[in-house]
Amino acid sequence: MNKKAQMDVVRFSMFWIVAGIMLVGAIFASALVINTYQAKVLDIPGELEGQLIALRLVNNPDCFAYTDPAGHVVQGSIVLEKFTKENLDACYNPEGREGFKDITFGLELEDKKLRTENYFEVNSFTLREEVLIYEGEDVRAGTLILQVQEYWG
Amino acid sequence: MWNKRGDTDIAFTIFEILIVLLIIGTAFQVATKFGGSEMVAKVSVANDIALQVNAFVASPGNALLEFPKDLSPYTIALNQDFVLVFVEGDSESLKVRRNFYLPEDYTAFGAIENKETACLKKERKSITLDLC
Repeated sequence: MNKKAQMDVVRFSMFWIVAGIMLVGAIFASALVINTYQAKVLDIPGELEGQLIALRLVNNPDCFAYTDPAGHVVQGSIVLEKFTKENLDACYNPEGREGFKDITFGLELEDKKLRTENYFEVNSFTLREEVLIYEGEDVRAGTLILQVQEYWG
Repeated sequence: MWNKRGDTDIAFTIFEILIVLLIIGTAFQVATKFGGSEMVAKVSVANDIALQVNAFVASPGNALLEFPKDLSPYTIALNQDFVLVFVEGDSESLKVRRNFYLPEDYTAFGAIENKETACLKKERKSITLDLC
């Protein structure tokens, strides 16, 4: 091989090394962009998920909701005596190491405050539920304020 | 008759064509993998089921939901804390999992494999995934 041919081989190799690196980079960049777009398209708004989870607190008698003497559940209600940390944990408990990745709440009802496991006050948004508060024989309107933490960490 | 220079040029050209074909093949494979609708559909089914479980827990009384989608390509497993959606032959990383948290005493279970329709039922404190 003469000197010219050797130079050609060197130029050729250099070109393909640089081009190869750039093309591999371009492929990975495209994959990343498609992946990010896909995740964005499939993302569920935190407000929707938070609202759906929050509804169990005021609609489910196994959480805080009131059941009348005929056995009918009053939706959008809270029995004040049920508004305890024990009942909250029994109703919704994102515990364990992975729990911080899920929706957690800080709850406020009148002067009472509760928080779910893995709630670290990193609030993403606030939900307000208009509720009927049952305290003994007394019934009054009130607002349950839920500070929602979508993800911590 | 070919001289040595001509041989080298032909070898370079063949090499370039092979490289270009390899790059096109790789790019196509990557694009198919990420742009394919299968992963999107699996995530969508898993999200729907997890949200529906939360909606059931928020509903007093019993409930029944027939899935309005063709589920025949998927295997769906509903467990106590999560739903898993995958197609046969999927590696662990391609299986889609969505977590949910049920109140104490509630149970969730059931599985379907390559069935066109499925129903999610809530009866008292039990949520099941089954054939309709």
